[in-house]
Amino acid sequence: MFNTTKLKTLSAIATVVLGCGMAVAQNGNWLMSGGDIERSGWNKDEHILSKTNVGKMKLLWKTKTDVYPQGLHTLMDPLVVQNVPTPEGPKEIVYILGVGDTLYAFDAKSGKPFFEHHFKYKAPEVEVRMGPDGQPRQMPAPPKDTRHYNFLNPGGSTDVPVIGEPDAKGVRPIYVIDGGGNLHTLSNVTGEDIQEPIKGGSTSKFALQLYKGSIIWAGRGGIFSAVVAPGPDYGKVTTSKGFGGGGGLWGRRGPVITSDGTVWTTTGDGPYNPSNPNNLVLGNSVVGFHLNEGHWEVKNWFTPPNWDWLRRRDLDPNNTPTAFNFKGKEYMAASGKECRLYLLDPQNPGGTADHHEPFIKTNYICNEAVDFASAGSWGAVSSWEDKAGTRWVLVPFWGPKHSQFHFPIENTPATKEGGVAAFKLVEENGKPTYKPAWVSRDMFRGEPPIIANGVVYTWGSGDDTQQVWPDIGLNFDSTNRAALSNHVTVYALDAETGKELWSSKDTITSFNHFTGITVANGKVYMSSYDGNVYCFGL
Amino acid sequence: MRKQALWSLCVAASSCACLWAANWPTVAGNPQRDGWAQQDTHLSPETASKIVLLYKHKFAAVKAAGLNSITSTIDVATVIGYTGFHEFLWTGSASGTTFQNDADLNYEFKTATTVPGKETVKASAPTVLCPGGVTAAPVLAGLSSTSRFGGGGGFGRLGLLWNIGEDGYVYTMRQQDSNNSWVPPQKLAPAGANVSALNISAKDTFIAATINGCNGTANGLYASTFTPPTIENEPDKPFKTQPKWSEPVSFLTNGEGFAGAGGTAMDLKGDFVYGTVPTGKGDVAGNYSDTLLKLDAATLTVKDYFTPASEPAFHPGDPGVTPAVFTEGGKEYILAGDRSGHVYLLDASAPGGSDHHSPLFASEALVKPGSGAGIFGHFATAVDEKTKTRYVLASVHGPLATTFPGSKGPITHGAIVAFKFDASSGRAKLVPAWTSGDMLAPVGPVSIGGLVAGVSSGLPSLTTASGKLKSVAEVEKEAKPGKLTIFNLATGAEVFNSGASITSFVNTPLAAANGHIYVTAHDNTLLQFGIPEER
Repeated sequence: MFNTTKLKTLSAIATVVLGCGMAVAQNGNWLMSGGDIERSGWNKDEHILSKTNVGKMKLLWKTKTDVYPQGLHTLMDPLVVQNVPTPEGPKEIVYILGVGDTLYAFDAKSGKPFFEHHFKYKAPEVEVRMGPDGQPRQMPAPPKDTRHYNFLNPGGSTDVPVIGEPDAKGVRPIYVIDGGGNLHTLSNVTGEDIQEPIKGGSTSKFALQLYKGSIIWAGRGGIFSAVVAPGPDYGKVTTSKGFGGGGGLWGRRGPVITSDGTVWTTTGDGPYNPSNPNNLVLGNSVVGFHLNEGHWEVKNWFTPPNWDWLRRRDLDPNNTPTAFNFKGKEYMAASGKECRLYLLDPQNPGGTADHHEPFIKTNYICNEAVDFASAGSWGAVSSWEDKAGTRWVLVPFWGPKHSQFHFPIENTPATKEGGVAAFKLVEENGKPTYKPAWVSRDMFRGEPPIIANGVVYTWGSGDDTQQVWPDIGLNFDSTNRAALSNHVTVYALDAETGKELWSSKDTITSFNHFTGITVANGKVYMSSYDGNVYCFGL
Repeated sequence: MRKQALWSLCVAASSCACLWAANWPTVAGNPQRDGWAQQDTHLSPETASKIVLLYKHKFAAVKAAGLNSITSTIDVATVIGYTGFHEFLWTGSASGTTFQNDADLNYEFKTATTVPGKETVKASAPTVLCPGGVTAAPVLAGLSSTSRFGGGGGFGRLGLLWNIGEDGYVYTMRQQDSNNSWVPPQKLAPAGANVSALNISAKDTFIAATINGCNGTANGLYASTFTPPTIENEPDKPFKTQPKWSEPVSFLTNGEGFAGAGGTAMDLKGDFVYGTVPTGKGDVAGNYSDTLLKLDAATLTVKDYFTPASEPAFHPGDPGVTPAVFTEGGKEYILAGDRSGHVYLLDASAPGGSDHHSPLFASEALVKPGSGAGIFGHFATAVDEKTKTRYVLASVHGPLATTFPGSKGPITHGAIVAFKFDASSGRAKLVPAWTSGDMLAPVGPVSIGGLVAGVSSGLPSLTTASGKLKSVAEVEKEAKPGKLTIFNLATGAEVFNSGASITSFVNTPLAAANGHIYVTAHDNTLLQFGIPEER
């Protein structure tokens, strides 16, 4: 099962994995969700697509995978590697994880399949839940057709892999967790396991992090990590301690890592009770973990002062924050379904002793309807810096912009179903402050943008986000939503004005759910529920 | 059945938040009519100084009928709605419209009407006893204590509520949008009857109590058991199985209707229903005289009863109080009251003992019998979390005839009185604990977060000194604005009063849930009191 050739490769990659520190170089590659460990969404290396030519983009190829939906999930964020050594010479390869435990790789130039790797594992045992009478509850059998699965618990592999640095032969490891919670290290050339899979102890619903030789993810009950650098600690899994939950861990781009190595995640809707330091219950919060005495422990956190209101209305800060430097100091920008934009100091995110005071916060940008399902900011916050050194923060959102929040530039048609809001971070009276810059045109569920060479790439997912119906109430059968969904529309916007420069119009015929857009080396990649991968370019 | 459904929901939604919330589904908070918003974590004696009037909401379109305008309100939190999570209030009205309000954001979300009804009711001039129109507040199933998840339905479980129209039909509404035509209405009580309250057992038996013989209808109870429809797993489909109602049954008092604002109280299991009948006659208990009846909830057959030793003559319009059911030390008790102002503690298994005249405990007479004097509305009983002491609270109308510790001056118009429940000697008794200051004909008390809320109704006696019923106009002329007062449950110390914020009289029960106390006043105004929060 595991041969010496693989071990040699393993040895070869050891040095590069261990050497991987704060940032993953892009160099035309897109190696993790959000592009870097700060989850900026900023592709600093893009030089082919620009404001002046992006309007000429067209569909370069479209490839159908055999992925079958589980819930609403099909394909995760595409990742891209240049100069992959192949018998035909170096190639640019696109890697996409499918929910059905298959990693797909395509030739970026042609869209032709490069490899597929299907994960096989023993299905995790169904947890036995006890009823109020102390007896095991009889659980209903899951639907036979996985399209009916609960969109919050689709099963399968829903993480976004992360790709490490190459060995001497140019072979990179792709780290991915399968639906059984096994962490794989695959060759990006062959798709084969090049290390013994690690039993991670938890699946990951969202994207993985690679930091200092470990894969880090937000799993069930807290932060998990596994050492993937060869050595005596290889395979060591570290779990969380002292974290009492309070809503699941969220953030589509997965955890964020700040410069001191603190791992940040957001928590979903749930109770907040920090009274027991050995069991911190931190719903509706932005929580930082650090390694302490062999466990991931809560280092610090920010909980909005109106957490009880957020709990009652399910308006948790469910997206991935982003970290960046501004005027020589590190900050994090965070948002969520409540639809404010926070600026947090990672060294003291909650400001005061009660952890309720952010560095700054905006008024409501959207979600005037106070709706947990079809409004608010979802996914991830992005950030970039323009040539003049101005720091921008971008917030995707669903539903209309708040009627009382005004931007100097409000593009049309006005947001009704969603969009992207852009802010400049400026210094006023010696203190950072968010200055609204622009809000995009309407798009059906604005999704986390990528910024590349002065262009913002985002999309309306077309995902019908209704979770509740007047007659049947809350219902997690994903086919109800799928039946009402529309289609993906990709947009390219001027990053300084939000003006629409290009859109995919009706090219993509299906919607997508909880995935990401990728821009690399002059190409824009997007996937859809029906299993298609689209590549746009010049 | 409901517990099972709730558990299924919890399991199915385990990936979501753990959502804990409390509700106020009916008059006096629950089918037991114990007046207690249990496990509220928002209010406490320590935070009570922060209580303010949070908002007033005027239901502009309501036309009063006699002394009735809007009903008391009911509350369900954490409705996972198709427009987002909500805490909803439903407030009925004499004119037949039920208003569904967002409790936090104070706006009318939806309305539903029972007009025109299934049967035409010949309108007669409103009197103080027979106002006409819709008289009972809407009801939700369930308890007032904290529960995981609120309403709204989902996973085959329906989020419903009900009200009863002037036509005597029960209308089933969806919590999601108050739609009341999805499930056909069901005939329960006579058209034109004055329904004091609806109640729902844990076994989904609905019981309507009718009073005052309005429009020639007989006073009594009317019951039917509801089997909800089952639904498909996708929207906009016909029911898998149709809703059903059992053949309605009735119990007539052959005299006055069941006393108090709640009409009936039920045990937790939903097997029995309790009510006090001022006058009348029946096969089992003989002549009623503030007789507490214990009936089978489904069949309305009398199973047991308690009749006090003697009562003064009954006058229409006299105050009366609905029993309350509570459990302490594993034993189920009944609280009852009579016209001579006694509070009785009864053993639920044998309310009157072997001779049907022997309570576990009888208080001294709290009032001197007379025009408009007596125990009114409903009780409340709550446990002080710090001392684990159970208190029993009652609303007294008229001059107080006995003394309580910590007197706050003469009680001439009424008061909220508190007893400590004491079973330390092996036989349960009620020990006077405290009394409020003088209050003008307070409605039934409620308890929340270690506090007790009472509201001076502002209403005068409905009868003249000679015992003659006043007209609606006379009562309205004499009435004064209501005033909410909040007390420390353990000490009786006043911690808040509403001053002049209530601008008309209040003849509807209070509601309390999730840190808020609700007053519904005659000028169609719903007032929310509580502690401001950041949103």
